[in-house]
Amino acid sequence: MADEFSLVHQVDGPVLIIRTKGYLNDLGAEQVDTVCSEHLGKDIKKIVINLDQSPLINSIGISILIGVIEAIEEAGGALAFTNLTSTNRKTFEMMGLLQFAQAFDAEEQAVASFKSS
Amino acid sequence: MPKSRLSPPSRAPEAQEPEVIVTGIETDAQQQVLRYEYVLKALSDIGDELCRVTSFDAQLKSLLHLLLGTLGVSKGGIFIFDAMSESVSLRCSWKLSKKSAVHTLSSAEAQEIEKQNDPITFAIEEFPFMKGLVADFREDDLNSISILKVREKLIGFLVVGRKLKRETFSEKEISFLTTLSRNISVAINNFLLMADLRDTNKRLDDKIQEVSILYQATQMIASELQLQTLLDMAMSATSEISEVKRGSIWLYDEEHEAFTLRSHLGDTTDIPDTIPLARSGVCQKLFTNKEPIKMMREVAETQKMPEIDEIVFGKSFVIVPIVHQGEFLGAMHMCEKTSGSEFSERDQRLVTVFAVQLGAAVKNAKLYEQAITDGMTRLYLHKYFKQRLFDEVKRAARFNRALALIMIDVDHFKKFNDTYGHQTGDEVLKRVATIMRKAVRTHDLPVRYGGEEFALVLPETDMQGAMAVAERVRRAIEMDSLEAGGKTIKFTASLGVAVFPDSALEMDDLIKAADMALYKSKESGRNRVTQAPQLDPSKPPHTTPPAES
Repeated sequence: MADEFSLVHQVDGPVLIIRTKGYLNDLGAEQVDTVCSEHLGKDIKKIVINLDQSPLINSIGISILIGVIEAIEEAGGALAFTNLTSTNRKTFEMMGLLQFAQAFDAEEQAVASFKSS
Repeated sequence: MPKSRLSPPSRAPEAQEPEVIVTGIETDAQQQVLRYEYVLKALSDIGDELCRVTSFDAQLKSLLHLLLGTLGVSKGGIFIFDAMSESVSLRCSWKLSKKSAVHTLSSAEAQEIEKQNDPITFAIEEFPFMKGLVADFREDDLNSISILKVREKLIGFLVVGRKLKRETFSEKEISFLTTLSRNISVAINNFLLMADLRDTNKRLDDKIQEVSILYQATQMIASELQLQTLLDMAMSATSEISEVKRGSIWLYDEEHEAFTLRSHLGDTTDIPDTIPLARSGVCQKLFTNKEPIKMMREVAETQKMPEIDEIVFGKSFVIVPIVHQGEFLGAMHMCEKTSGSEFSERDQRLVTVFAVQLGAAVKNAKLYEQAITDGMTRLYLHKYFKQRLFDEVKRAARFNRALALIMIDVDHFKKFNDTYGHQTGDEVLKRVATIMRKAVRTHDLPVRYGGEEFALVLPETDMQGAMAVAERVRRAIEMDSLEAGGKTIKFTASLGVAVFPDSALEMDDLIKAADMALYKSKESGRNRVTQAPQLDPSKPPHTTPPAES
């Protein structure tokens, strides 16, 4: 039985950090889209999504992340994923997500990169 | 040392060319495999989705996300076709500019779409049907639309947006989209069939429950011939039908054109015993149309109801006629649901069906009552008295309880008739009967024994209790009077009291004992009460235990 999806988020300077927990294979993952939309509305356009606690991502999760990418693109922001498993990295590459978002090994690296740019 | 084939290249760049080409092909092949795996996983997820117990809308949304995520598309929506209303409505969407949309689709158009076998997926601008729907979503820059159908049965449509970077779909991706659309069609069809099945089951369960409630309620009243007991049972059965705070049953008195309250549930402090037909709009409507009336609080507040109707029936009520073979017998009313909600169609339907059964039962009970009561005094007849007294003696013996019998005879009745005429004599009998009815409890039996002689059967009553009732009746008769020929006429009665088992052990002996006591009263000067002697004076008299509080 998959864990119920949840997330925590924090704003660090110009960067919104979202840490997900549980599989991104359910409609619960729509929370990621909601939190991103709220912060884009507040002009926080650099977003880091830490997927360390979300090892399984299926098409439902991908569709939600594509929605997030489109919204950030429209707002002229930037997105980074961190702590991707190798399977997820391959899926993201295959689906073209990494053409619009950078992948980092660790959250701190992504945040530091966004802060310095 | 020979170099391994996997060692880093040390040759000139031009010599490395063939090896790079081979790696590129492998990578493409790996990507293809990965892509197929991904699509297969999506198909398997659709299968999982079918097994999940969740709502139709949640499942539809999951299916839409599965499809969008598989194709790498950011937006889309599923429209469902409803053949009954000939309309197509947006049931589920993700990131579309509109959250709802309804379009007409005639059955002829639907049939044409159902015949469309290949292709089922079209570039949005090339779709030959539903032009209005397509135009409605122009600003979403949709990529394609797919027909969702199962075996020539149109389920709806699926629209999808563009891929990231606005890349066009490859042939393979269109093939994926078609395959996924077909799977989604089957899934939606299954959902709809399941939903239909659940609805049908629910309706069936509701019907079974309704039939069961009605069966229990009608069973309660089916064989009851005592009118009052029947009406009280019917009133209590209404709580089986619908939980209400108040209710009442009224019988229509044709002679006085009024409704008489015969049984009630809940507080009746302000409720009158009778409602003249002329004063109640509700009663008039019910009497004229013989159709149920359901009143909602909101409507009652905007209407000007006669005060009596509002007091008796309340603001939220159902009232149904009690009719038997076209004869209007009365009304059954329920108001103020315990839940505070309004009455539903189901409440009205149940109480209406029950009232039909009640109509037949009331008619039977009335006919039975007519057969066992005296038309003039409305007291029970001698034949019924004998049958009931026999039963009551048996019951008293079985449960070791006391049973009292009071015999009453109007003093000098013959002289009354001779002096004032039979009409006045009859009036005296009616007065005595009224006094007797007022003096008794629900389960006591007031009887016209014959001529000017009456009887009272009092179950569970000892000599002391029976003497008190007898004395009360004697005094009430003594205090009464009537006007005839300009004169005030007074009358009295003599009474004899016998009790089972103190005075007699058999029915006939009990009647004889009460008669003897009555004779003693006559002998001793009339207008008095005499108790029958005890069978065994050495035994203490039987006493009735105090009623349980």
